Amino acid sequence: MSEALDFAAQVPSPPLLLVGNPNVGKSVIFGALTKRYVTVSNYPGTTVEITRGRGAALPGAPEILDTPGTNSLTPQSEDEQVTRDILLAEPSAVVLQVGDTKNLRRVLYLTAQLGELGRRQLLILNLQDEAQDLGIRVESAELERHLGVPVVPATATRGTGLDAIPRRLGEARRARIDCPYPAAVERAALEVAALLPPALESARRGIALMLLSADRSLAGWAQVHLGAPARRQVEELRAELDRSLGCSAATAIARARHRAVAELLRLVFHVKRAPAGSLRERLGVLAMHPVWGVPVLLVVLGVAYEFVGVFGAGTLVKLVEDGLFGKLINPGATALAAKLLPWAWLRDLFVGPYGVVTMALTYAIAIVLPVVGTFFVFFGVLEDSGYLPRLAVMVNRVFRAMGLNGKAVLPMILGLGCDTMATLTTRILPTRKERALVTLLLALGVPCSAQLGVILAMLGAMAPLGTVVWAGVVAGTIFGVGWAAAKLMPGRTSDFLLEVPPVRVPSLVNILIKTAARTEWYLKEAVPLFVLGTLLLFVLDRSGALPRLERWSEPLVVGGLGLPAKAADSFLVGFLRRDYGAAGFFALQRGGALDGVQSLVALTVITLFVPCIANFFVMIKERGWKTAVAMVAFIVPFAFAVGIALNWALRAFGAVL
Amino acid sequence: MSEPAAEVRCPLCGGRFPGKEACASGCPLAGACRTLCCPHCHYRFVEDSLVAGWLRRLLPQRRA
Repeated sequence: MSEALDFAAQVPSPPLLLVGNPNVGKSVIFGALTKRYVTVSNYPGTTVEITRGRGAALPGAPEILDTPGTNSLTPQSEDEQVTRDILLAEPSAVVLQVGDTKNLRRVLYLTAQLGELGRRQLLILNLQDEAQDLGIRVESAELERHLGVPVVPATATRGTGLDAIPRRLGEARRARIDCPYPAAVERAALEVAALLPPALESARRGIALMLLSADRSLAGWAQVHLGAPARRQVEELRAELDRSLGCSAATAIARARHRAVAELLRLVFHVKRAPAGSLRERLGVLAMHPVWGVPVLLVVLGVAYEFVGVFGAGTLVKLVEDGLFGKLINPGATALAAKLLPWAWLRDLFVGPYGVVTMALTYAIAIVLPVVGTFFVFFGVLEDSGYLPRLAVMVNRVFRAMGLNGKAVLPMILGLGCDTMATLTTRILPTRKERALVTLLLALGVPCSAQLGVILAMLGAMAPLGTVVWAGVVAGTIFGVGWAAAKLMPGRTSDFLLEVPPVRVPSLVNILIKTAARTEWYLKEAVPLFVLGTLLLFVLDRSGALPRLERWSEPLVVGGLGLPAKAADSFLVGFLRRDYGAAGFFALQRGGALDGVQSLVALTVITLFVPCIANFFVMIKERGWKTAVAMVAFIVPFAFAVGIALNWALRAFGAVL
Repeated sequence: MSEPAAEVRCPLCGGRFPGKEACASGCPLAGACRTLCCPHCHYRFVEDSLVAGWLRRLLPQRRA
């Protein structure tokens, strides 16, 4: 906290603080008020970035701080804690609270807390255009009368309404929302407030309520501002309050705030409902339902199986691999190499069994690209239709059952696009343990878009039982490891807030553009690694090391997994990219070298591998090298162990796939 | 007031935000990995590329 105070001292008084829920347009308003004179720095002791600028468009050009989005002043994440700390460290600041008009409930919950903290404020109700589109009308004048603070309706992205900010800034006041706290809470709040330093003045009630809410992130603040006897007294008052309420004081306080906000909403918030019961609306509700969401998911997976596994991997791969590469590119390149390259080893480098053209480019462009391209089209439809957030809501329930924070579902859904990006996104999780756990689960069992495409392609060539077994083993592994790890590493849970957009009919043009962007991204990222992997195999083969490696790995690959010795090559390149390894198995399957059981075993092992070398680097960057190496040291043997067990079980039951 | 920033719509939560708010970091192997990061739900997505930009100019788009 002392660092926070130092940070505040750098800002001339009184500054303006832009405060609001995430994604409500604070940054756009910040840009409009500050023009271009901004600086970005980390908040002391954190990795959270704070943007500061001079309010050139405001009287006196005050300093403006753009705080991280927050839903409550009882923080659930580092970002939210930074915003709360800035508010505590800036008692004289005027708050420009920015809210999403559509989500007035969330806005007013924060307003209630800001009022309790005694902050002078002005409320900007942004995103008026979106609210109007949804038939939402907020009576701003009536809301202003109830709150006692200026309320400015705006659509910041269009620049409308912002002109009122300079005019009304001088009217900023403390917001009044009378929360019906139980009498015991009121008494305890008065007693705690009396223990706080008088210099805190009007902030004492708000801080007292925070302390009674058992906000552990306030421990540092309490160390600085309260003596040991006062801290003990607060603890005793809180424990006594919890006992007398029959629930935690935090719950009772939050309930009272919600009741007060609901009462206010009844007076000022009106929605002209769209015709209820439309097919799209009903589908949207079904997709989130804990029971009916499962058949919806199965239908989605069935469509993916047909479109990606059958059409992409069957029809398109046949066209590109057999036609374009089989009849034109590879024979042409071979003829050209024979004519231009005098040395056999150089010819092999391009068109040999481990040639850049005949292996790397054939795998990347003839096998993986058609599969991944169709998957990108499918994923784009899922995104544009609004299904993904509904899937997140449904899966959230499973994650809660595993004992994981609800927010953990977001990186896991993102991992279906790219595990490396998803690992970076684990930063949103509030504790180190949760970040480590989700990083492990991502690396272990969430296939990225490229790999999922190849997986669907291989599953498309098997009996449906193969898909059921693969999905069961992978889901069971994620759930089992997640559950066990969550038990070993308990962490507190937090609310999962995700705005679910309406179900939409996807636009063909949008899907085309997104698919083009993703395909270009895939080619730029994957092809160099495919070439690198092929060069590695080429060097190992020419030096005689590859046959030795295949022989050494026979007890594992042939004996344990029941695969041909050649499969070792795919595992080797699988360390660079899982989809490259999967493409190798796909080629073996298409060539008849793998039967159904072998295909399923190979697919399961490669699914459970570390996604790619880039993912490994990001794991090191985000979690540190010790944790990253420990995770890989667990994942690789675990993947092979699951494969061996699966091979044994499938053979024992005489499965035919 | 200054020019309003060009905005994009997050494919996951539907939230809108200034398109310049790219992720602070991306894939370490792909310098050209230009992903955007939704400030609300933290979803990361590929927004643009040479071909996508060309298609965007060529094809008429409806407002998302």
